[in-house]
Amino acid sequence: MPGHNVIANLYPLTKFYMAVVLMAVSFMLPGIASKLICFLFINALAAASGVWSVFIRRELETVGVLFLILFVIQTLFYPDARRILFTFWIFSVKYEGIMFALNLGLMLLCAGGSLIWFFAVTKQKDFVLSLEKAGMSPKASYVVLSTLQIVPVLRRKSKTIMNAQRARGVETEGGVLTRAKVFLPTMIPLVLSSIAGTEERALTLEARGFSSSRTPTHLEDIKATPADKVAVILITVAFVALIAGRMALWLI
Amino acid sequence: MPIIEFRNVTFAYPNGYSAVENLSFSVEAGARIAILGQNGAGKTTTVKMMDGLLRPSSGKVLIDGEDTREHTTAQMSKIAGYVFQNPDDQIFHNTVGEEIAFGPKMLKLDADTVEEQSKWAATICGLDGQMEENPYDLPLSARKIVTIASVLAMRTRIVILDEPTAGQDYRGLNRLGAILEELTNRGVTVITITHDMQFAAEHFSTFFVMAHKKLLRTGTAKEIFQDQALLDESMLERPFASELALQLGLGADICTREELAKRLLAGGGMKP
Repeated sequence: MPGHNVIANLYPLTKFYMAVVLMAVSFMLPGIASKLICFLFINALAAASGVWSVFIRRELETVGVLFLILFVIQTLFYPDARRILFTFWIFSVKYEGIMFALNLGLMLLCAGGSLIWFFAVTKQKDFVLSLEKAGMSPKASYVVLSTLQIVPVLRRKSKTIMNAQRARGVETEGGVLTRAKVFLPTMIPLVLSSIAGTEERALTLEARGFSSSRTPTHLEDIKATPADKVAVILITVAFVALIAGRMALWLI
Repeated sequence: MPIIEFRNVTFAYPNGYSAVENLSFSVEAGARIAILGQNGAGKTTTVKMMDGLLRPSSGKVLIDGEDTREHTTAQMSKIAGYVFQNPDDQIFHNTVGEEIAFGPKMLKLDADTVEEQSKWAATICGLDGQMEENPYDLPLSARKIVTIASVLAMRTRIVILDEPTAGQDYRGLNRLGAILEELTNRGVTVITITHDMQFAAEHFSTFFVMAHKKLLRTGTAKEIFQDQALLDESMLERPFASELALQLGLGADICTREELAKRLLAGGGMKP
């Protein structure tokens, strides 16, 4: 998390607004070219926020893979295609398929990318704190935060358990079948220990006054700054202008 | 041939951070070795390389003559049994009995041998009466003993215990002492990581002192706990018997409670 980056230091809800607008824009944009520009813009935004390397890695690992699968399937199996670019073996590459895949794929890259950018520049607890300050109940914010945090925790935990199994003679290195067989011995302790942890978590929460009816105070606080006002205005103006442009394109 | 041999072993994580550097040592079969050192000294990384859970970035780890880089952890587990620090990462059966029998079953032993080895492990760990219980109903210290039993049941020639003393009460410590006796009688090599200096001094013959990713010294309890510069550098405490003997002016060579008692009874050094 960069320390003094102007964009990264914006209030979480401002950044969230940006991400939502970017998602809306990516659904709204008409052609491949404009979507590509949108995607490049998100890349530039990530670079300007100082998180491009994290952003592009996560983007390629998630949406990138989806894009690739989508591209191959649509290119080869698009129904009722008229223009066939070339044929090899039993496959033929279809122009309409490529266009459809690029359109949909770029839209996904933009929409997914804006969320990936958001979580790359925002600490989860800051985001949840800003939601809470915007009126969400502390209980709901706890649910949001623990959901956001559970994935990395479970991933780490399943790795540890897998190691413990390997040390007991369970073969985890090898083909799909070998790895399928370890699924159960790994899942059981994972689930059991999560359930076993529930009671302690409830006690810990209770010990910290989780169900108290008083308004909770916060150890750390974050505040919106004048920069946020400027950012919100700029984002809104750009968004309205884009909507206007899109409608103009429509009407003409 | 030593049963464990490290040759210029360095382990670095993929991000470049090294956990141990240039370790070289060998362990003879049947030895009882305690690895001492502060957290972060590289103890766990070192023992994890003994059963192939981690493989050296450079150098060689030979276990019973086998290079760990040429075998999977599951294969190495037939030679070296590893008890994890946290029992909850290891237990996944509904009863203690099934948990203990799992290891020997994985070794594809026949049913009678599985039964016999499980029973042996359960008996020396004092779990005979709890075979039908759910491990998660037992307290943490007892779950740790369950995981020890489940590794012992595999009858490996090396047993690695990562902090077996943590959270154990007096009875638990005595139980661990008895387990170590039984293993030594069977010629098993035992490697342990511990922060309990008194337990280590009374039950282990050889000590490896680690600090800042390196092995500083190997030696007996008397050698290690009299080496003040070593203790300072590795930030280790003396066993309390040692500390007490020093403060009473009974000499620096005392490590165990028994030695302390003998010296006291002999009246050595004490002014009336």
